[in-house]
Amino acid sequence: MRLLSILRSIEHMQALKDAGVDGIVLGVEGFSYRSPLYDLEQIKEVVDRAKSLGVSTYLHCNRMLDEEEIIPALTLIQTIDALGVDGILFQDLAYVTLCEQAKANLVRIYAPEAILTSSPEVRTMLENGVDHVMVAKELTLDEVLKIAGENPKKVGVFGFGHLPMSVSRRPLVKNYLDEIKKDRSLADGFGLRLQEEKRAFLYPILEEDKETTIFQDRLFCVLPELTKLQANDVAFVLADDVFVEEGMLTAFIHSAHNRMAQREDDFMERYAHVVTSGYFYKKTNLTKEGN
Amino acid sequence: MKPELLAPAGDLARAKTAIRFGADAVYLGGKRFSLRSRASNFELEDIAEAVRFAKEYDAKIYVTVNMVPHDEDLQGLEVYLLALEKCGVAAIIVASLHIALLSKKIAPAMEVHLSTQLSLTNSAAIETVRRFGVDRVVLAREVSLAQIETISSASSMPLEVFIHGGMCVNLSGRCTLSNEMTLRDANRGGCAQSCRWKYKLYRDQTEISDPNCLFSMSSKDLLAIEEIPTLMKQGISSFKIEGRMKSAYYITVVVDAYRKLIDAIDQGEDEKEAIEKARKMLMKAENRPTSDGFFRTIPGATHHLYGVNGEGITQDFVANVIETHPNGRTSILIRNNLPVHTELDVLSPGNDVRSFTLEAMYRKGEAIEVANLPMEVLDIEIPFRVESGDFIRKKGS
Ligand code: SF4
Repeated sequence: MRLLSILRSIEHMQALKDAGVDGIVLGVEGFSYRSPLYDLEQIKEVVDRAKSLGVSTYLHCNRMLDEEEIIPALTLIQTIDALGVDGILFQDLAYVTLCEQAKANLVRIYAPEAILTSSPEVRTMLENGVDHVMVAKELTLDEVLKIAGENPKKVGVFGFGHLPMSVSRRPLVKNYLDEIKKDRSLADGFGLRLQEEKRAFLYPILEEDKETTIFQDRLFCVLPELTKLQANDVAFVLADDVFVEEGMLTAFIHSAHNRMAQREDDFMERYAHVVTSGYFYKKTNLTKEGN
Repeated sequence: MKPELLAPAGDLARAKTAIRFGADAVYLGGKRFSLRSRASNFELEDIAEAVRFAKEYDAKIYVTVNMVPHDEDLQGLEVYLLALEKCGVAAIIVASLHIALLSKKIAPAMEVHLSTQLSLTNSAAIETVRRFGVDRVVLAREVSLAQIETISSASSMPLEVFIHGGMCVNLSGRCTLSNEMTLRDANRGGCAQSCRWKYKLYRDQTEISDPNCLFSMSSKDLLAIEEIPTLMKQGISSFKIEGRMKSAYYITVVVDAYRKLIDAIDQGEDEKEAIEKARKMLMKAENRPTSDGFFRTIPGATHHLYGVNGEGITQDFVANVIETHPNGRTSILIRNNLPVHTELDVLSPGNDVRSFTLEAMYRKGEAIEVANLPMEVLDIEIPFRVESGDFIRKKGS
């Protein structure tokens, strides 16, 4: 099982490598959101350094593409393929066709964050132009293990970070600030939290150029289940860094690396108060009728 | 070619109403594998009856099989798809590419339409889904008119576009707000519409929301009458109305308005006049406030609902026609408070709205002044011919 991590900054690469990362995932200007964004020159620098460190590189093309972005996306694929990037994680099914058109050697990882919720669905994608998948975040551990076991070495899971709950193509915060006649610049950056009026949780909300994302308040962390995932042929675990405090991402990779080598560490003791198991032990199949 | 007008139906009566009022196709949900669990109350025999009725009007029935299934949900799927095909269902609407491929393989007589939950926004993604046997794509609600134009020219795939009704504020298949807040999965029919709830907004620990108007993500409903002429020129195959939970009256008004608008434009009538006529008709439906969604611009504050709880339901719909009698009286089923001397409109399929003043009303032969018991059957006199199933409402302005 491989450990992948979002790259917060180029300087951060060595620390991730030292912690035991196998692959780094890069946001790219124009095609990604929620990740730190790199331009093509920086991507080239990262790829070169990653190669010398023995680390794979993947682009995080998680934006849904508008029609006018199709040609630029095709150009991007051709360019990164030539730069030696190893693969792309994508949400938009357009990338399957674009990778084929470009005859790119990129590993294609379909990571829609939802939608992939059953073993037949995963198999269908793997038989039709996709090399790996990342399954939906709202699956239970048992569901993940079943799907991964039935599609060995093909299934990745979200392993660490704030789980996104929703994505809108509307500037939800700026619109609201307009409505209550407050300065739109209050919507910028990482300082925003939402609190449902009857609940205690503070949900991070991030408004970017074209997307607004709301995240769970707690940090999802897969460490307690890591060896089970490994035993069930999960291909990779991805760690995210959005709204994660400095140092914690590297600590997670370090701990995951230790656990996979059967070495003990104290990550969970240190961070037990802020992490959660997400939907691993929580089925979300209630209906309106409450059954 | 004239686009299909596709209407929702929550039960058989509403399916028949939509078809009578001019829907070319109706989509409905079965008991399983469909979202909107409460709206999906069609047994297989109801579906078969809907298909039979639709055929009389040269219309089609589509069935939503649009749940995003987990492994535990898949049992019985093949049998169900075969049964739908046997019923004569023209197409299924799916959000799962596995179900798309499976249906093509075992029930090839049915088309496969890919739901908006897949959020397809470009022609390359549409090209990808072809390999899964998809015959039609329902575009994401996030595409603009200009983007629809380019997608439509770049792709030969038949396209379906939402023209009216409720809108998810988020990319629909990717929203788990409801999972988080209520353990109900929107992708399995459990959406609690948590986007419409109220939230406080903080910036660096300081509340910046207005306590009298808290943050909400509630979207205004979509209204696309202005866009219909352009969408028709773009060659869109199907215009979809949202709302399997909506009342028969709502379906009637909305289908009637868009039917007349599409036909008027198709026949080269004055577009502006036709649009204004449709707008007036639609104002009589139980609409929440509306906007044009993403068609012309990225939605701003005016596209949202803030500080609103009510649905803005009108009380205009007062009765349905049950039957006419040889003595000239007509039995009606009362749905809302109705005093005599009220001016009323009658909505009948294919007719313009006709008006009359309610001069008298009878309960078991006895004249009464006001009807205030919903679902009571009363007799009235209507000075023109009406049909069973016609709708009666308070006169429009
Ligand atoms: S919570 Fe709102 S945006 Fe999310 S699925 Fe439900 S209606 Fe759509």
